[in-house]
Amino acid sequence: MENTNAIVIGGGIIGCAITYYLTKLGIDTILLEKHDLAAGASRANQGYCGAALYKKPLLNLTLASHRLYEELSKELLFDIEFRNTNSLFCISEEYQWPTVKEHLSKSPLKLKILYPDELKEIEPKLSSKLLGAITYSKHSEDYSVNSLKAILSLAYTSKTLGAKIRTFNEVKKIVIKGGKVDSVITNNGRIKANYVVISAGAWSPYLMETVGIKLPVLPQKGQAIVTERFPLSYYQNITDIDYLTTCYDPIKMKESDNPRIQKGIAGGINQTKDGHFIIGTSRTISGFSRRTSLETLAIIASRAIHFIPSLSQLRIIRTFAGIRPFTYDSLPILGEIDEIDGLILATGHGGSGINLAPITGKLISEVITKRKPSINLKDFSFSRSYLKCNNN
Amino acid sequence: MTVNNVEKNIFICRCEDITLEEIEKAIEDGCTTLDEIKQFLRCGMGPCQGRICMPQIAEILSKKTDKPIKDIDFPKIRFPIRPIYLSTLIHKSEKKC
Repeated sequence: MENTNAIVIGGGIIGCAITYYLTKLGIDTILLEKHDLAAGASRANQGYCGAALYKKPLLNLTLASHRLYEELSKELLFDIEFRNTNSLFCISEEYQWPTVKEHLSKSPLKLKILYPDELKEIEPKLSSKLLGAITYSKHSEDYSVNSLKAILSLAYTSKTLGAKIRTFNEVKKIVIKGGKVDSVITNNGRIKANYVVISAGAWSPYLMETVGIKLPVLPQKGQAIVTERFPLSYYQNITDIDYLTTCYDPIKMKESDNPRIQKGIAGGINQTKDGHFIIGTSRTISGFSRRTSLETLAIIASRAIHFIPSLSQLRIIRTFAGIRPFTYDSLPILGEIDEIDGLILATGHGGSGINLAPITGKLISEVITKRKPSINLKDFSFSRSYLKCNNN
Repeated sequence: MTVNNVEKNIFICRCEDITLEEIEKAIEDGCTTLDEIKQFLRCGMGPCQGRICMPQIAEILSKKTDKPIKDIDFPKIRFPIRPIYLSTLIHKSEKKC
């Protein structure tokens, strides 16, 4: 039987980043992916790596991840188009002020409010109806990356360092012996391993089921619109401040009487390096179907036009949907679990998988090589999320 | 040689200006599916969404990898079939609701 030190399940950005950091530390690693690379949420996103609206402890992971992305830009074989971008987080309704003020008072980042007069001056494209916007006082901590290139570049660079990347290899079962990981059974046979990392995004609960453990991660659908190209703007990220609700407050979202908030629509309008606007996204828990819905897309579009009226005359070339791994407290689940030795989780990143992939890869490689994690994993432990789920 | 060079410079994806040579190189570098080629080179990501170039890229992939064309999966086709204005989407949907 084939034998390796570590098996990583899932060929999205998280699995590829883990494989890269493990291989870099000299760990024999096999990555198993049931489809091709970037087949799930990793291909359906805006490539936005923000920090301004993040809260602790997620913020610490985010900032560390951005520093690693800067290193990766130099280390990896292909360019990943990681770049610093300018952002405006738009306030359009009176009811949003308390959330805005609360966020500003708690965030350790240097942020400021721009009022309509200043806003009009710095970004004339914005609607005159806006009440204001948050932006960075000085240096922007927001970035953007070509997520598709990042995944392929992580995978190919790992391969040249000795990792085995196996697409169209589906894991059917994880075999446990004496409370310890023994092997995995795939459609191509069985592989023995000391460590098995589950980084299969929203599909991770199916793998945990094979060892009899319930994983409180739900499939959250995000839909988005891609437009034709347009000359690059200075502010390449225009985000709806309601993101603070739809991203961090699932209970408030559920109880809202506004259909837009119920569907979790708090748009980020992101312009890619090539000039396309990617307008997203919704957040709904509705199974694994990746169909886009005309009704949801129309709300996303009208919200975007509410911020930038001239977008209405831009053409849509594509729409897409991705299934993200949702957790109740919007935090990922990272690290070992008490129940089974050698089984490691790296999932539950929600809409932040691209943003958090490098730090996730680094932390998991530190866990496996028994190094001290560069960030304390207590807040992201499986026991934490398990408890919260039971309390709900 | 000259003929070969000319052929290699043929544009396969006309929206994103991707040549035969670039597609063949991507396959040599490890792309195994149409989706991976698309993600890596952007072919099929322009206004036509691969409706013009994908059958040809499938043929190139089939030839280079000795895989019958019927076994090659095509990228998912999504709404809209042809580019439409954002305003049209809102208008249509309001009518429907």
